[in-house]
Parts: sequence; C-alpha cells; structure tokens
Amino acid sequence: MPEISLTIASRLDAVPLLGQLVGFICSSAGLTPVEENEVQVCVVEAVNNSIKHAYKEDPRHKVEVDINWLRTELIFDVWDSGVSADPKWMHSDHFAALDMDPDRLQDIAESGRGLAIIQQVMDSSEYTPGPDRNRFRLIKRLSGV
Amino acid sequence: MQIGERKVGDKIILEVLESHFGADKALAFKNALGRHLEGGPVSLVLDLAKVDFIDSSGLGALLSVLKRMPKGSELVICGTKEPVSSMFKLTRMDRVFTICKTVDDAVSTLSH
Repeated sequence: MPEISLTIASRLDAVPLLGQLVGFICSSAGLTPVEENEVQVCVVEAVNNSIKHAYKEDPRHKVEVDINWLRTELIFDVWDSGVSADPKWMHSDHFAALDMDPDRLQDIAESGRGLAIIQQVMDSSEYTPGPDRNRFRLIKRLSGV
Repeated sequence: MQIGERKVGDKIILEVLESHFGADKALAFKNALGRHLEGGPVSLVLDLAKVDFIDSSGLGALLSVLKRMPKGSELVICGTKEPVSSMFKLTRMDRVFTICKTVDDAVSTLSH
C-alpha cells in the first residue's frame, strides 16, 4: 500500500487543500463519508496545532504529513520542527474539553477542542517531541479488514 | 471570508459562502459579524448550507459570536450538511446552538 508525503508552508490558509487531499485518501481507503470527514478534521487539527503552537504562525516553516496506508490502518504522521509541546499534556485526557453546561454560555471555552476531537475519533494518537522534529502520529483502523 | 446578507423583515440572514470554515477563516468570520453585535438585540439566521467542512476553530468562531450577542438577541443556525452536523454532535455544540433544517424553519423559530 502506498506511503504518501504532503508538505505545506506553515500557513493556516494552506491547510484546507491538505485537508481535502487527506479526505480523498481516506475515501480511497474505504472510510465512510462521516469517518472520512472526521479523520480529515483530526489531521487538520494536528496541522493547525503545529502552525499555531509550534511555529506561532510564523509562515517561514513547513509542516509535513506522511500517510502510511496499511491493510488494516491509516497512519498519519504530522511533523514540525517548531517548539515542542509537553508530551504529558498531549497524552492527557482531553475529553473534559467537551463537557459544558449549555445554560452557562459565558463559561464555555471558545478553543481547546482539537485534541479532544482527535482522542474521540482516532483509534490512537501519540506525540513524540524530538530535538530536530516533533511527530504527532494519528492512527485510524480500517474496518472490514 | 465571504458572507452573503439579506433581510427578512427585521431578521438578518447571513450565508457563509465558503466551503471550508477552518482556522484560516475564524478570525475573519468573527470580525465580519462584529458589526451586527454592536447595537441592540438582533435576530440572526446563519445559513451554513455551502459549508462542507468545519473544524474546532470554525466552531469556536461561531461560539464567540453567540457569546458576544447583545442581551435579548437570537441566533439560529441552519442548512448544515452531514459533515458539519457530525462535528456539532461530536463536540456537543448541538446542545449550545439552535439548529434548524432550512432558512425558513430558522426564521420561523426566531421569536421576534
């Protein structure tokens, strides 16, 4: 199965096209339209994190997404060479970000749901900071195999 | 960020004319809607029928607008396609926003 590498400049306006390519690959791998969209969102969230937090939106860098399409799973490795995140924080339970009281609107945070979405949708995720590059690996199992 | 605008009586219908509503559009969206939030109570319908993709930043922008609306205002979202609806559900934002199927349904839902 193919291994695909996509690289974009660290600009938020470069992310939509990358997202569409990820969606196309997910569709080709047999994910349902809902799964395809959800995985696309997860990869976009990971790339957005690299641009916003690792690079502080400095557009002079690159974000690379390596996609390894195996028989049983899709593996997305999102690479950046910016400031590393704290792996403990990345691996902590982020589901609480989805807990809210709709009657207390002003208390609902406007951001911070990206990792919760990733943890909810992907079968596993793993953040590995490195001296040169940081890797955020997202894995989605392919059903029906 | 392209947003269409029209009025039905005193109700304002805003149509997001972008297929991708993500982090690159979030700030522009909040700025674009700012002028509707500066006066008194306002009744807004936000038509997302042309949006195929929304991420947490797009949802956050919607939430920001909802939180900034003057007291007595109303916001109803409509036209969401399956990928967008599923993100509202996944993030439980479907509990925060009033969501209708069509613009007409949304206009009827607004109380004033």
